[in-house]
Formats: sequence, C-alpha cells, structure tokens
Amino acid sequence: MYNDTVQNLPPALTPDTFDALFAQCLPKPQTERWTEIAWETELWPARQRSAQENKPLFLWAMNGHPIGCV
Amino acid sequence: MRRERTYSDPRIINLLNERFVNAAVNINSLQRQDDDEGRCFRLIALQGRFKLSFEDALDQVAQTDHGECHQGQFVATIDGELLGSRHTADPDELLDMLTTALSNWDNRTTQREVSQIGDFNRDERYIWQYPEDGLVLHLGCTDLPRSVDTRPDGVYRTAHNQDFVWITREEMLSIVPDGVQKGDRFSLPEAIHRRLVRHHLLDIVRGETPAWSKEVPQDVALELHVTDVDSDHVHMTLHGGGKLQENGTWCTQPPQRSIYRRGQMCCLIEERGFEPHILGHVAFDRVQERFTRFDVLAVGTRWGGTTFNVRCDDTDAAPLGIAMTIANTDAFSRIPPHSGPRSYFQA
Repeated sequence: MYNDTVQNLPPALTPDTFDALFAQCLPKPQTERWTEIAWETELWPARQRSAQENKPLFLWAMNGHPIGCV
Repeated sequence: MRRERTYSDPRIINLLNERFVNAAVNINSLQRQDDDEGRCFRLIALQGRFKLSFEDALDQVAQTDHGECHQGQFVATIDGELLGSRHTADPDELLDMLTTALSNWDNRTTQREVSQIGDFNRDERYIWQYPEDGLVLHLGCTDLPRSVDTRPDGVYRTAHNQDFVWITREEMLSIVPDGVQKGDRFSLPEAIHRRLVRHHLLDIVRGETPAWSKEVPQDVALELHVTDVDSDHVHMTLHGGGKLQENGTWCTQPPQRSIYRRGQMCCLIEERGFEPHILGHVAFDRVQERFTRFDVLAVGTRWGGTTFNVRCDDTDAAPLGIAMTIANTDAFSRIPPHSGPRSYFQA
C-alpha cells in the first residue's frame, strides 16, 4: 500500500517550519464552539446536578470520550 | 468532526445550556462498568438505542457484556425514564429530538420533585487518577495539505481530533537526569517512550483507532538533546522518527455513498502505517520541578486505516500531523487519554 512513489509527500519538519506546522495541528478555539456547552464529563455528576436543578439529563454518548479522542 | 458539526449550532448550544443538564460520556467504559453509573447508563441506552421497555431494560442493566455499541444521544430523568433518543450528527434532527424530549419531560412519571443523588463506588477497572503534579499534554491531530487531493468536499477535508497525554509526576521527574550539561543526549524513559509511540502516534483524524501493537515502539527513536542549561532551567530539543507499520483485518463501515451498510459488505483494510519525523522544544524548571514547555510535533506519511478511524475511502499515503503541548487545567482538559487505565500506564 505504501511505497516510494507517494504522491502526497509530507512537508519538511525543520526548526524553520516548526511553528507554522505546530499551529496547524492543534485545535483552534474558534472552531471549537461545542466547548460553549456546559458539559459534565461524567454521567454521575450530571445525574446529581439534574437532581438538584430538576432539569432533564442530556447524554452525548460515544465510543471514546466526546471531549477527548472520539 | 461531530463535535463541530452538531454542537456548534447556536440553537443547540442555547437550548442545551438553558433547559438541560448535559453530559458527554465515553461508552467504552460506561457500558461495561459494573457499578451504579454503568447500570444507570445501560438502563437509558437499552431503551433508547435498543428500544426496550423501561421494565425490560431494568431487567438487563446488570449485564456488563452487552456486545453492541451503545452510542447515541439520550434525554432521560435521573431515574432512567427515557424522554428521547437519537444517533445523529445533524443539528436539525437533534433539535427535533430535544424538543420532543422537553414535551415528554412535562409528562414524565419520575423526577417530579427535586431530589438528592449520593455518590457511588466506581468499578475499579475504569478508575483514572489525573496526574495532578505530573505532565498533561493536549494533543491535536490533522491531515496536512495534499498536492493531489481526491477527497470529496466536506467535513473530511477539515477533520481534526484531539486527545490527552498523561505522565505521572514520578515519570515526569525521571525524564531529565540529574547533572545534565549542554550537549548531552539521552533517550526518553522507556515507559514514556512506549506510551507516546503506542498510544499517541496514531491516525485519529477521523476517529478513534487502537494503540499500536506492543512490538511497534522499538521502530521509533526519541532522543532529547540539551541545548542550554542555566541555574533554573534545562532547555532541550526532542528528535526522533521511524516507521510504524502493522497488518490486520479491519472490517470497516462502507463509505456513506455506498449502497451497502456494515455487515452487508465487508470493507476490509489490512494495513496501517505512519512514518513520522519528530521534533520538539522542551524546557524543565528544576526549581519548580515542572515542565514549562513541552511542544512536540510529529509530521509524516500515513496510510491505511482501522475499523473505526473512517479511512475506508482514504487509505492511500498522505501527510499527517500530530502536535502536543502542555494542557490547560480546566475540566475539559482533564479528560483521560483514549485507552483503559491499565493498558495505558503499562504500555
């Protein structure tokens, strides 16, 4: 599957290209609007808050943590 | 991808913040947990995902080995009475479900009064200890620009993912040997080396993927070079690279445009690989005993895929970038790494 005739070569990683490539790879806050939602990151504290505030519980359940690697 | 597509819609953000208590949860552990939290989740998911009645679901909540995936979006009372469920990335579909669930909330038969929920003892197989005084890195992963790009327009062109790297305090303090001098070179401690390679040099751009096999880390070198030493700090660069390659039989979900669905036609991938070059800038404060900089970048060619990282139609070699930097300390930055605690710390 992989051989020496790769069409899409990666950019060179050097001290000069480091900063730009580094910035490209990290999440950018302006695209992460889902962080504006007041998520609990585990079910139990959410269940406790739901009991205290008497509001319905919304669960976003994924393989992998939805706020981490999903 | 789902994060940005579904939960960046202002209507969703406002409704969830105003009318619901929201939880983002990892079913890899939750659907298997042999404790009250696991039973509570299974009660809700068995109704929502598998359409069981409340009573039938209640009969099955003790089973921790239900093999099917419990993913989805659910609205429930604290007693597990299901008010709505869906498994969608479409904000309009989610909005419809939430609206219906609010109507059902008005007609609920449980949680009519404000009540108290006590604490519980978590199944010890799934207990993560956040490394309070250790080193936690925020990892970002994305496809880098391609000179020949055959991907269809859409979310996959801008896909990115994140993870967190956990290094305990004891491990962190073992990274920089005592008495190092400018010009010294040394390897990362083996446990950290193996963890970084097996669990974090992974193609997770479109979705989760398993750790590399135990044999793979030896194929990647990682070495710290001391560039400067003063009374407080040791400044270093991290250098490394290698070729990670693994064969397997990963049966994947066919692409969205396929007329087939999973199980009807196996879309098989038999190889995955990543050939990274690695460079990092690292600084350790010897007085405070903490890292003040830990910026690491891996750039290289990836190919292939696995069952859940959605590369079925994008297995050809293409550039991938993975960056790591010291994480914030807010709640969203305390999410455990993508793994189980035992396999992660004994990589």
